[in-house]
Amino acid sequence: MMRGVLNYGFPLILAGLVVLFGVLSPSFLGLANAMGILHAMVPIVVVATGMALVVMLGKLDISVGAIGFAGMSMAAMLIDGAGWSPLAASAAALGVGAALGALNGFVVVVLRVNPLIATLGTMIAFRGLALQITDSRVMVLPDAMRNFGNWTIGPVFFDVLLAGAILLAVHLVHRETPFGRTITAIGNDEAAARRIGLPVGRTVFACFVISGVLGALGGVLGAAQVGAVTTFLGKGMEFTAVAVVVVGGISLFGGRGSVFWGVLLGALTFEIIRAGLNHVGANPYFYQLIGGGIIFVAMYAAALKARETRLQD
Amino acid sequence: MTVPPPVLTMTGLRKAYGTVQAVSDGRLTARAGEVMALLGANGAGKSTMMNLLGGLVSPDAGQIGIAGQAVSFAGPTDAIRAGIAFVQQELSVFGSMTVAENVFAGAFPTRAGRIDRAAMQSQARALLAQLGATIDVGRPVDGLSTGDRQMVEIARALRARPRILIFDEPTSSLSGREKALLHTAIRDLKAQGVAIIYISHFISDVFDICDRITVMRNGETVAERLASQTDQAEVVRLMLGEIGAAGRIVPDDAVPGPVALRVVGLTAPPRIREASFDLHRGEILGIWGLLGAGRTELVRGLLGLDGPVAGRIELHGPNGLAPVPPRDLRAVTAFVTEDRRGEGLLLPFSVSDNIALPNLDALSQGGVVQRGRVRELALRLIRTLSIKVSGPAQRVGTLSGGNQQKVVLAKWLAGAPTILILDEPTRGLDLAAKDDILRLAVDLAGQGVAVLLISSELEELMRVSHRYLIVRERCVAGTLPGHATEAELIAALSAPVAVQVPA
Repeated sequence: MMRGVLNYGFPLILAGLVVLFGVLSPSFLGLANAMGILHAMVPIVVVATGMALVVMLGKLDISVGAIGFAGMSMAAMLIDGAGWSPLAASAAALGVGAALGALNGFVVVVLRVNPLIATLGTMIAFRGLALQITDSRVMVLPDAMRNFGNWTIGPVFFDVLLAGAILLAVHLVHRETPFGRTITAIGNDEAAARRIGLPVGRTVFACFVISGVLGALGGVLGAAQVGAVTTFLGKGMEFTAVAVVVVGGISLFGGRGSVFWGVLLGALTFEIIRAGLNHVGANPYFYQLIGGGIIFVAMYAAALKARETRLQD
Repeated sequence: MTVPPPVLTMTGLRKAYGTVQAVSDGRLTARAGEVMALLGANGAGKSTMMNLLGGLVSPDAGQIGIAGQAVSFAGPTDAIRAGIAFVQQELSVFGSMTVAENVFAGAFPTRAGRIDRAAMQSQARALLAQLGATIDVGRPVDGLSTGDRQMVEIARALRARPRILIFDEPTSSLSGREKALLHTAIRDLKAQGVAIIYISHFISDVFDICDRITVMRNGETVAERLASQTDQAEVVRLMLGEIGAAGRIVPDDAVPGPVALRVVGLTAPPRIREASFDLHRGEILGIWGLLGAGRTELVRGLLGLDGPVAGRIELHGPNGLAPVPPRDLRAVTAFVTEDRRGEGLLLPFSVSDNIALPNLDALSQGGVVQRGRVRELALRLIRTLSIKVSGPAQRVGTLSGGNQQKVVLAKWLAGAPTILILDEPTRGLDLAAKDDILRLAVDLAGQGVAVLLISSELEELMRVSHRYLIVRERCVAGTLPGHATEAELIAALSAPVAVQVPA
């Protein structure tokens, strides 16, 4: 009974929320609103996908929001100052993400600094770097970029398809390749992984680079949706990404969970609640309270589940 | 019957770590289709020999030959390439991954970058079948028994088709049935021509499945015997060598005080099979057994530190002996081990703070720690234990090992325990410090404390034990009086498990 609730509870709660908001505000159930919710999820899904890999290792990368800001600031400067095309500038932003992710990887793998502390430091430093680049100004992006960010194919936003493809690709890499299985092995028991000769350092480094690239991509897609780079870009994104991953059932201790379902269900949960509260005209600060509650419930459910598994042994 | 030539010959090996000569003359051979046991007491040099063979360290002198060719390993991968595989005591399995993934971790078969699951699963199934194990290769390792996990680990070792397979303490956490399965698997591997090296503290296991036995002592290989031409008693004698003159510092015929603790039928398989004994006030009861016999498991089980145990524990109270839960026993017991830091000694803290920490309730008034009382307590214990310090404010990290151990004792003694359990209390200490700790134990017993002592240095036990509790293969096999002769004591280590002494 308990087990059933824990295994299927998530989709049930999500469905319940949709029904609840649908009753309170019938327009919530419309296609346009559903597409809007998916569209709004795009930046966090992309960032959380990278975060999911790092969390699978049993580590954290809380610099991703700052990387998104830094990458996009660089892109905006290249468009504005050097006349780059939005596409080339976006590619440069991903390059910045890779470089900053590599720096995180270096600090964690080579200098052996605790990942939370390492990325807490780089989070502050990268945000400072971005503010330096933009001189703390709001940068307006060209229309082409804004059009791309809100481009629809039929009823579907293009960036939703892009984010979905990235999520699925990372999911498959995690499940079906030696690299992905090595990530899970490290998350289970890093010392054992070293003992049997798995390439621990290389794998951890690669995950931080991927997390950096996806952090930057999240920044680019988020900025393209609104058509501007503000100093708030990516702020708090790292914690939302961690929350999404955790609520989606990926263990913070590493090695357990599904990238695809974890990120999708986690992001849907937060976005449906945010959009739903918005729809029924609730106080926006109320959302934060609910969000905190969800994280608590998800962690408690995970703890219960772990206890059930142990009792079975 | 013709004897096959050795696949592995290790000769004249020497290895020192700093000033410690871990191995001074190591020899070991292994033959295809045979199981060679490697035995030795703690510190005999077995692990160093295995580290040399695994390419983890390189020898200072001596040769390793494989199939007649001299080899030298720059690292573990060289050893693996030479056909050597280990099944370590500490399992390296990944719980959330499938059995097949665990077997192939580090060498996944791929097709166009993607893991070829069909091939991986069929090969994993074949490797496990070779071991006689039937485990669903598609299920996660979570929820498998320890025995099955070990099969997964062995299958991983076999994946590389090793010529030489080393088992390091493979049965220490297995149940009887799992052990039998493992031994069947080892016999099958032997029949397939693998050369096996088997390291174990369970001497009866060794005689069960090994063809030859190599014994090491103090870094030297002292004997190689055919298992069929020796017996347990000879092997134990070879392992221990001459036990030095004991120089007892307790009288042989002390009259024991009343029973402080009675243990009846303590059982927690596979850690403790059956333990019943009495511990008297004012006595030092030496736990007499080889490493791996279950000495530490016994005392930890008694204190309920490793999960629930069956059986009865009775403690002497105002109304005589009464059954108590392990929690009540812990409240009156001081438990000191070799692991000084693990026991909560805070090295950057002062001696007095370390002593005060577990006793803060008694040292405070209205929720505020009374510095004066802390200092008083520390000074008193420094004096009674003669801890060599400049003062109670000296930091523990700057003390010698022996004095650190005394601070651990002081921490516990502040609570006036009635039972003192010492598990390898002198490990790593110099001779004078060892002597100090032993004399302290004798003094405490003289004051009426009931002392239970574990030591791998049998001479130590022989110096201070009023009685011996014989522990063998996870059972209490009996007791011997303090005046037992060396021959009686050695015989007790190797005799087959038979009698249970009534409590």
